[in-house]
Amino acid sequence: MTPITRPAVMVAAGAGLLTIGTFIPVPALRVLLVIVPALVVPGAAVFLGLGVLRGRWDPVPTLALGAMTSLAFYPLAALLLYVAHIRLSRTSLVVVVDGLVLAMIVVDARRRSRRPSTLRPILAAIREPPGETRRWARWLGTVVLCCAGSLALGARFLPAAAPAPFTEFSLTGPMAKLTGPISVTDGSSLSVPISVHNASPTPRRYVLAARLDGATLGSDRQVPVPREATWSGSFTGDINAPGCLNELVLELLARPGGTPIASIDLWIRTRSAGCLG
Amino acid sequence: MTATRLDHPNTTVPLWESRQAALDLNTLLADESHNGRPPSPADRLQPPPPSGNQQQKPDIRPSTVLYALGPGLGLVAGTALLCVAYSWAATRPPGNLEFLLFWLGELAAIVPLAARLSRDGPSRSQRLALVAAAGLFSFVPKFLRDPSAPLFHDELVHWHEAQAVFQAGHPFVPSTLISLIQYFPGLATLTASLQNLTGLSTFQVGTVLLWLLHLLALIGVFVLVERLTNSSRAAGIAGLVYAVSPAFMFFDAQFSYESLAIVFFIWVLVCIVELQAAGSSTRQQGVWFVVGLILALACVVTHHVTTYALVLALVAISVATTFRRRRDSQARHLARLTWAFTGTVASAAAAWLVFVAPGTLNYLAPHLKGGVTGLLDLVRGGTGPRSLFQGSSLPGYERAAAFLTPVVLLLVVAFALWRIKGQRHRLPPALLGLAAFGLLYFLSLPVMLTAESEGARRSWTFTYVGLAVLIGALSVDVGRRFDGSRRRRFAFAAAVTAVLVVLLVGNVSVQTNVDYRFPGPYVYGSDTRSLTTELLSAAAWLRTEVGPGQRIVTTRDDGLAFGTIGDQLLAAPSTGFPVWELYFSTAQPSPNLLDELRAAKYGYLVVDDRMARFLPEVGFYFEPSEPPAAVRTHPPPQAALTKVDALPWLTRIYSTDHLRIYRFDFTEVGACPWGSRLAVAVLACLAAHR
Repeated sequence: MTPITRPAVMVAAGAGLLTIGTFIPVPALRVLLVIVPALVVPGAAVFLGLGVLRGRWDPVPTLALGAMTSLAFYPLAALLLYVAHIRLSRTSLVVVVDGLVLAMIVVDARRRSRRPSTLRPILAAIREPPGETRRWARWLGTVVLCCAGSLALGARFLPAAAPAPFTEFSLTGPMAKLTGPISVTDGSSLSVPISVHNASPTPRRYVLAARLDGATLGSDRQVPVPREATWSGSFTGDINAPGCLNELVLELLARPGGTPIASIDLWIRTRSAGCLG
Repeated sequence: MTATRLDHPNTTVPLWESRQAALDLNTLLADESHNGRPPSPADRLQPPPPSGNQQQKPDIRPSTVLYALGPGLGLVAGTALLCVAYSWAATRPPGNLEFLLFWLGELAAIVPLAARLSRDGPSRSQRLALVAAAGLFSFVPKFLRDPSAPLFHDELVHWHEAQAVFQAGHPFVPSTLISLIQYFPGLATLTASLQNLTGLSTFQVGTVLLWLLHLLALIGVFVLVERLTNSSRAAGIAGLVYAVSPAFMFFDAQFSYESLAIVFFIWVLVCIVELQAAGSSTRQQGVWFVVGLILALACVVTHHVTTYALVLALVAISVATTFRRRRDSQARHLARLTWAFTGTVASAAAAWLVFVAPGTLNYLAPHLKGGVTGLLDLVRGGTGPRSLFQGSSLPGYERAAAFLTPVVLLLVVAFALWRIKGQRHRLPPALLGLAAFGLLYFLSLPVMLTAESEGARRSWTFTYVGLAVLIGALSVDVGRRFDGSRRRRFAFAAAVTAVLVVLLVGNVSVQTNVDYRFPGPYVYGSDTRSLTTELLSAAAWLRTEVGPGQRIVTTRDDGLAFGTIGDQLLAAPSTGFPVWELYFSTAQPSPNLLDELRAAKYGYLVVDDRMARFLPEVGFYFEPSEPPAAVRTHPPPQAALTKVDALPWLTRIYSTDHLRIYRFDFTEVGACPWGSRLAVAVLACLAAHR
């Protein structure tokens, strides 16, 4: 029986961490536990299976190549799952990664039991003064942290763009899914659920006006809406239309008699004796 | 300080040629005995260097401290300045200060990096750390441009596709915005996989990926050039050359398939170079073959153009390997293996094209045809060349740098070719192949003068890898000659830095327009600055109140939001389906169009009234073939947009200050409204009842 090597143990441990981490219900902890194994384990497993995760390897390029192989693994695995009619999900992915790791450990063990490997590390280490790699990794880490700090401070203290204010006026509820003219009986009352959203940094007092075929319908109504808030209500009016197909326009004005900011146009089909066709 | 590769002790295989040739190569390219010399076959054959007396105490002088601290301080200061530049651009009227702050930030980081990397002192680890820092730093501008949501056109489309794949649980989810992306699901499936594992959102996974890809790309270039030149100094300079390439800072920093595929491209080249470097070790070659193939297959399923560029680069390497001077059995074996790898990748690309994504040809053909036709037209003198930077608000120094960039590159590359001309038989064939591939950059330049300039720009992402290799190789040769005195070293560092600065400024300005680069006031039809909160709110309203998956007709600009944030299905306008009739003409749309809209069950129409006030920045409202996109000087008349208000088959269900959403009801086409406000409605009614 060939003993499990240290790289195999490391890869298996990474896969274990990935498997357990993926099902942890605390989102932040899940990300912390999973992100690195997810980006390293599949690639490392491939290297293990190929027999090149051995000896003294060049840490940064090997990790980079491992990450690249992992990034390549996921699309190819997703295609295999698709061909096998298996949904791409948390469970299926964990099973695929664990399956790959297991398979590669077995391949590695079998190969070693047959003959000693003559392979070199995938990217062999470069001899440098002791601690040189660690020293510059620390330098990079410090610079990255300082830059991240700069970004965080910038986001916190520098002024950001304010979105241009606007007003949103719409039908709401089931009426939003309207498919065509509204059918009403001549002389009956019509209620139209509407919504007004004030996307501005100040409260606004809108005026709601209605016109049926250009003629004023009822009296204008004040609609106060706080800043960044939505008002929902309804327009109600009696429809005494002269024709069979009439246009009802609901206008939202900044002030009485002003130019409309936004409007809704509805078509009213009157059910009456003369409008059967 | 000396570095030696710690390979397997039993291995006695030279890299490219015989041991002697390898030593010659070292003499030619990597006379760096004083620093962290990277791997070379000669190193493998030599005993490890003595450690004791050669480990001298570092010479700490003010200049040494400055060199050591400079890059770190520059990167932090550069990040801070970029933050200020983006805040300024977002909150002040457009001017020149945001450009100045931007370039101060960039130069604060790049100049110390270039100066440090071009010197002979730094160890390999230091160079690697500096290149990695450059990779991360080059993503900062794009990160600041849209830190909280996708913004660029392609980015939004890919973000939506990745979300769709995540929700559907399988690849090949149709996209109505760019139909082809469903057949290249590499990025979407990778993102969905990482989303499933980590629980992060699509945008968060995308951001993590892009930081990582920027890092991996430059490490890849470093490893590639280091293996080819046996010089970490060359590798560092080449890494920086690629960091200042046109697409690296913005285009390949967006969440799109090329951003992922280009990194596969680089690492596949690393694999083929390592395969060739494995000498006679068949098993080691097999390892690199398999790893390279995994990466290449991922590239094939991720992006079409990158795959074809990869095949081209591999062919160049294969040809160079075949026609090398030595013809012994090992060289022939290497050539066969290289061709086998190239053939396998090409076959995979062809199979994917034929069986999965046959639409790719139709997608790419107009661009290729346009480029060739444009060039022929230019040669015949049919149309004058396209004016570069016409109407651009870029500062003059950026435009000057953009024109200077190809000239500087030409001079540097010509010098490099002259320097390596006599040594070409002793250089790695992959270096020659990649150098030849890089020269395609110059062939693409005339295309910039045609209407298909986009194709030329897109090719630079790939050809710059070849240029980086060539410039890296040159820097070893020249750098060695300048290492004699302090003044000469300074001159070399200054020259390298100056070249990199010109390339950086020129490349960014030629690749990325102002609207993509900086936030600012609304610009109609600009993709980035027309994606307002108002538009996003309208798209979100339709999705929430009516539901996703509605068939809607809208312009390209608004469609970007409705098709992605709104998750709706968009009409694909064409001359056969001219939905622009609804917007451009004051007359009733043609019966054919109405029939098509009815048959395809289109439910909603979106109108932006700014369409009647502005010409779109991208040059067209719907798509390039719309009439009269090429010669349009005025927007469509306001009456063409307001006509829809009086048509009884359109109900306005939503409106904002600028946007309106209408519901189609084609059963009412020809209905006669009482007291219609618009002549076209009356005419339609009369026509229907005639």
